[in-house]
Amino acid sequence: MTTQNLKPDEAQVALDAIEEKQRAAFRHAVPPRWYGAGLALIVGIGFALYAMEEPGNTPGLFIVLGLALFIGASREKLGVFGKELPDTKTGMWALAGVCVFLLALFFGGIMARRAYDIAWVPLVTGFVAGTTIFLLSESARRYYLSRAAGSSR
Amino acid sequence: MKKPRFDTVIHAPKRLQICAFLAPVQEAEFQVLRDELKVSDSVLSKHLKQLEDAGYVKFRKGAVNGRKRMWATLTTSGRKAFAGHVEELKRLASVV
Repeated sequence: MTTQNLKPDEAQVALDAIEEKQRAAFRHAVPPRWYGAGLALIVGIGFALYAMEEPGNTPGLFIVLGLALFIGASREKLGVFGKELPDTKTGMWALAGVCVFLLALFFGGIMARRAYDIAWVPLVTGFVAGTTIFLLSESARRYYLSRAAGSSR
Repeated sequence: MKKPRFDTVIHAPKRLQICAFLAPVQEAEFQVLRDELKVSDSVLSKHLKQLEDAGYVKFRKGAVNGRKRMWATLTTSGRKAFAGHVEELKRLASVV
C-alpha cells in the first residue's frame, strides 16, 4: 500500500488505532507507588550517608549499586517500563531543575554538617532528597495516568 | 515536527499497533504485547521479526522466576520512522 491509494477515512482509522494503543501503553506503564518509594528510599539514605561523612561510609557505591539493582529488578518485574527521560522540552527543563536542586542539597548538606556539625543535618538532607524523588515519581505517575485517560497534556 | 513519510513496513495493522504501543514507552514485554494485540505468539513473532529486519525494533532477553522472557524496544530509527508515518497519516486524514 502507498500513500496514493490511502483514503482520508482510512488514514483516520489508522490514527484512531494508534491513539488507542498508545493509551493502552500509558496505562500499562503507570509506575507503581512502590517504585517511586524505593527510588526515594535509596536516594534519601544515600544523601544522608554523604552528609554524615562517617569514616567507612561508601554512599556513592550505595546509591549507584542500589539504584542499578532496584531499577534492574523493577524492569524485570514490570511488563511495560516507561521512558527514563521526559520526551518534551518542558519535561527536560523540569528534570534539569530538580537535578540542580538535588546538587545544591547535596553540597549544602555536606557543608552545613562540616561548618556547624549539626547532627540532624544528614537526616534532613536525606528526607528532602527522598521526598523530592518521591514527588517526581508521583508526577510521572500522574502524567501516565492522564495520558492513559486520553489527555494529550 | 517530523517530516511526513509513509512507511509500508509500519503501516500493516498489527505492526502499526506494535509501534504505537512501543512508541510512548521504554520497552514492553512480549506477553503484554501479545495480549494487547490479541494475537498468537507466532503471529506476534512474525511481525516483530519484520520490524527487527527493518531496524525498527530490538530485543532484550531475560528470565523471571526461571522463565525466559523477552522485552521489545523501538530503536531510534524505528521511533523516527513511526513519527514520520504518523505525520503522513495526519496529512492524509486532513485532505478533503
